Amino acid sequence: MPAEADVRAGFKPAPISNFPHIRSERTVPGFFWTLVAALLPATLFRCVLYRGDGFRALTVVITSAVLTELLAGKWLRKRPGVYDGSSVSIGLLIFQLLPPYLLSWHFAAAGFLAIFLGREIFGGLGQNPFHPSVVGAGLLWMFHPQLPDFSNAHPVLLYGEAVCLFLGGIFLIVRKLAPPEIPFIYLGTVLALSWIFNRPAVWSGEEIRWGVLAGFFLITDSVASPVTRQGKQIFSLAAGIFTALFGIGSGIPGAVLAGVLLSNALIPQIDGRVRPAGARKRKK
Amino acid sequence: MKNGLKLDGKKDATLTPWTAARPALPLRVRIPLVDPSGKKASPLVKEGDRVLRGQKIAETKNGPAFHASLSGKVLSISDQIEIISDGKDEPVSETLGRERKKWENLSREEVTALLVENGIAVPESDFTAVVINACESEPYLTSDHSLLMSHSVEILKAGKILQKVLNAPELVIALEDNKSEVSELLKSKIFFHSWSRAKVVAFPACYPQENEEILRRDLFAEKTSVHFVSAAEAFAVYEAVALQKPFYERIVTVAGECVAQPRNFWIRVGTSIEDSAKFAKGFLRKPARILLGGPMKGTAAEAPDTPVLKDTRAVLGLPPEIVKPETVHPCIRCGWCVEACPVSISPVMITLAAERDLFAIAEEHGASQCIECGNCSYVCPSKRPMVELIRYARRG
Repeated sequence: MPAEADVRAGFKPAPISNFPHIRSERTVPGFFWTLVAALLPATLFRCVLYRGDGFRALTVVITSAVLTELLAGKWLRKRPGVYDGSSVSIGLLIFQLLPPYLLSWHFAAAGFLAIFLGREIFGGLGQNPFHPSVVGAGLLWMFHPQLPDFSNAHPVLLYGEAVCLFLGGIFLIVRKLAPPEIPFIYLGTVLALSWIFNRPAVWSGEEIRWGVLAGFFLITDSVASPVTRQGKQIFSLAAGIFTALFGIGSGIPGAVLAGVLLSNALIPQIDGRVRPAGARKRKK
Repeated sequence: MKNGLKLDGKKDATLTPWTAARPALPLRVRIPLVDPSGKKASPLVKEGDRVLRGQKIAETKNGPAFHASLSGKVLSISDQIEIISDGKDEPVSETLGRERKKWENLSREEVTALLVENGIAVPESDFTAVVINACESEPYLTSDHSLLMSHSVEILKAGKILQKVLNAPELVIALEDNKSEVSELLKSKIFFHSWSRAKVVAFPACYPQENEEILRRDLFAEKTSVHFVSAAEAFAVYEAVALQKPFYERIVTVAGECVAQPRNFWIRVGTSIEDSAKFAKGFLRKPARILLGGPMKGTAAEAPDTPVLKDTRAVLGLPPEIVKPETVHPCIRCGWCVEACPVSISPVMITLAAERDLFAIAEEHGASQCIECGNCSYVCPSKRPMVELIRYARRG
């Protein structure tokens, strides 16, 4: 570790005498709370749609996620929980990924697993190779394959959810938290390949809703995606291909979750090969 | 240059008016006895001696000489020579500031000797091009703008002198396109004096355009030997050769939100930042940090008697809302640093490797190519100390 600045996060402010003395306005809390704000329209819509179950699920999952982060901060890394909105955003995404008919303890477990197994055991914020919400929701799927049918809602309401998510996604792009082409590469790939493989319900409410959710919020997560712009585009393309391929056999939610997780696994490969001009491996 | 940062210029305050004012004499000056390469200079005067303005007071072997920037008594000599002013500002000789007869006909060796004698370092070898670097893309800085507007012909003549000294066929004056009146003025002077081989190149106002490595890549092909001089140094070259005046004063921008009347001033080398701030009618409120130089590359001054040097462009008093101390968060791999890096290396990977002492990986991602511009630190939302980490990786 460098001696002159203990750079482990949250411990000390950076030494003041070093340049640059001005910094941009963007901060990590600003980043995650903007993400939370982008998810608010969809969260409200879902709560209104599912009423009691919705509010219950939302409260449980967010409490579980935030508590897990606080406790993990205390026990694992001896620093106070960081109130930067990242666990709230993970809770909100799990709320989008799982049906609210599940029992409370399902949501509590999902929140806990997402933060703990999805992030904290890897070293905390910034160290997770997989998207934490997808890990949490995916683990719950694995242990409970008989989850109630997702497409219970009226198709029009699913399109409504898709519109709310889309608006949130555009907000993310406008605030420069996500490069604009990434969600559209994902959506375009999924829809094109699904149409080619002749899946019957390409433009159904469910597929659009999950496509928008994944493309704007799961693929664009800053930690679980490559660092370079071209890397992110390749990642988006790969996720789209995997989602479409998995979608041939199984249902849409499983396809999306598996597609995102599999392309998360490819990130080290992408980062290793797609580098900015000055950082490329030189031939010896 | 790709990936520059468009910073908020904040130059209007010091450009109305753009002329550099001549303030009253400071009470004392402190001339550090270290030359730019770090060698210690040996003083030529003792404590208690009376010195005159422009008198040589220290020298290094084969290096530029040091001069007193005002007349007075030498108060103390330690790692700097402190001179207390006698208020008379007496020059060391009558010819100081008067045009030297037939200076255009001096030979290359004579000019080189003159420059070193008057406090300007000059390399010995031949170059393909001389670049007068008048780019100041950092916020608040306007000293080169002011200098070029008032002394454009002198700068061009200095360019010619440098071309002779360095045997360089090309002369380029590099500046930004938000100084359009300056480039128009220079181009008209070049036209009327029929100077060939002198070019004015205006770049988009992006930080770090003034970085020498970036300018070199933007102006020339690889492996061209180029010598860079700042605009202030070029003017000092002219004054030394044509006006028999050593390098003891320069234009410095005294600015920042805390300063009462920001302006460009002709400041004597060795003036303390406290006195420089007094020229600008002092601080309206206490600054969180006082910087020597621009906010991106400058150094924070620790004490109020820190002296202004020959390469100090600005004295900035910045308030707490601009230089806030930030808590450091972990890297969230957003990739904004990669998008901001002008030399296309991967600061995120280098710093993550540096935190774990993995120096080979840091080098693989381009640590040795870093030009230490600070763009990555600027954009990082986690406020990580990127420049320090990359320096640590390079040392390791």
